[in-house]
Amino acid sequence: MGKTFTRPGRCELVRTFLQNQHFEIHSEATVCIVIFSKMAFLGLRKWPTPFLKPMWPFMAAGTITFYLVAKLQDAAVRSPEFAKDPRNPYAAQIAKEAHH
Amino acid sequence: MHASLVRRQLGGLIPPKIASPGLLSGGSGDGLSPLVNFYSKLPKGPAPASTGRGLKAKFFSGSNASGAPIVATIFGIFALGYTIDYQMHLKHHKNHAH
Amino acid sequence: MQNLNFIINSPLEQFEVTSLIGLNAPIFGYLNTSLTNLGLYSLLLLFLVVGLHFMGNNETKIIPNKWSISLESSFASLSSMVREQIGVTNEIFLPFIYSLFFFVLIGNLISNVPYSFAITSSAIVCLGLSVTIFIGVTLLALSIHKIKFFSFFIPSGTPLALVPLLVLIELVSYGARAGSLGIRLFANIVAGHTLLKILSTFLYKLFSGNLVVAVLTLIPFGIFIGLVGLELAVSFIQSFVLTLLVCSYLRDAIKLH
Repeated sequence: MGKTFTRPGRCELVRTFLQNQHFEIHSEATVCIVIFSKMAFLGLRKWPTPFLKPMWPFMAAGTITFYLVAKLQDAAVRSPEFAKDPRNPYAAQIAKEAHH
Repeated sequence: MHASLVRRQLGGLIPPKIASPGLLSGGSGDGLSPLVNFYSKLPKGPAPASTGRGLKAKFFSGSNASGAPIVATIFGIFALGYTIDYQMHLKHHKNHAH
Repeated sequence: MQNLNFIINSPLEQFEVTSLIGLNAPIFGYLNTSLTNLGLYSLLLLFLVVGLHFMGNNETKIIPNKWSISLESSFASLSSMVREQIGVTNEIFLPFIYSLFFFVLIGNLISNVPYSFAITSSAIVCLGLSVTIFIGVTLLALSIHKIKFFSFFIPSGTPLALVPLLVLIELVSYGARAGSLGIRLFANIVAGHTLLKILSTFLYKLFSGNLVVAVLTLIPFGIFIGLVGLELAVSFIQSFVLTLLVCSYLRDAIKLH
């Protein structure tokens, strides 16, 4: 069904060809867990809300930010102040690199 | 733009157009019998109470709505935080301050 | 003697990110991942937000109960904010704004429980969020307006001579959005929690004194309770302000003025 995720929205009333159906008007509380589109069917209906169309800039921005923070962390871990700190989890790796 | 949004949202809300004032005031036509037929076929009485599973039915559904889950959540977060704090700090400071 | 169990060394210790379950392996280039208390509280936050919406939807009955009224009213207020700020045609951003609001709100509210941990007290979380939003909004504006996006930095009606200076100023103020959005949230939460930690430690010492001091301490304790209420209000207000500003930046990106 394309990119859909759980969002109980306002639903139409029953038509006459569905006998003995009950009226259901869903309250418009949207559950948008952006990263969890695969958890759609928690017993709730799937609505065809567009996901990629509004979110693509933010997903691209998220990867850019992740990359920048990773670079920042690498530089900080290898900085001379912390490279030899025994609590540094990368101490072994840095010592190896320093020997080469 | 806003009017069509409202129309789109409310368009399905109202039952199909079976009766209109014209049917009553005009001399000819079906009268109200299609309307009566439509409503006679719908289920009568309150909808059966569809309860969820245990926790939801007990605290969240219908008239059972209570604030007890909020209080339980607060105590749960307190317990989680205190456990983490105990394992990290308080265990080592048992009978002496810093 | 008094029981001095609870005295901590520094009021900033509450913000330490400690690793709860670690994984250090010489594979994938010295993989080092761990579940920290920050990660644990983020998972708790996810669980609470999803659980709130799953439990509180009153099984789609027409007649609401207290849970669904609260959810519907919060949805309605966010929906009206999005419609006012970004416009009715851009309601496509409502799920994003809604998730952002609930993420920050429930995250701040979790932190108000004693012994808990504030997710937004971590600068990386706040600044990462705001830089992501800033870059995302800029990418959105560039994709909509392409090269005309840069007309945003020249306010209408400026004399031609002033344009170079003004463009620089506007660029700086635009770039400052990335930092200010996150730092506002970070500073408010850290300052509030640090204050509460300092005051509570001091009040604990006062309460452990002799009986007269302990009774007199009830007055500052009343003020402390007021400050806890203020911290709760700050949780709400900061999440609302962040959401409102993100809506405003989205409007700037889409409408360019």
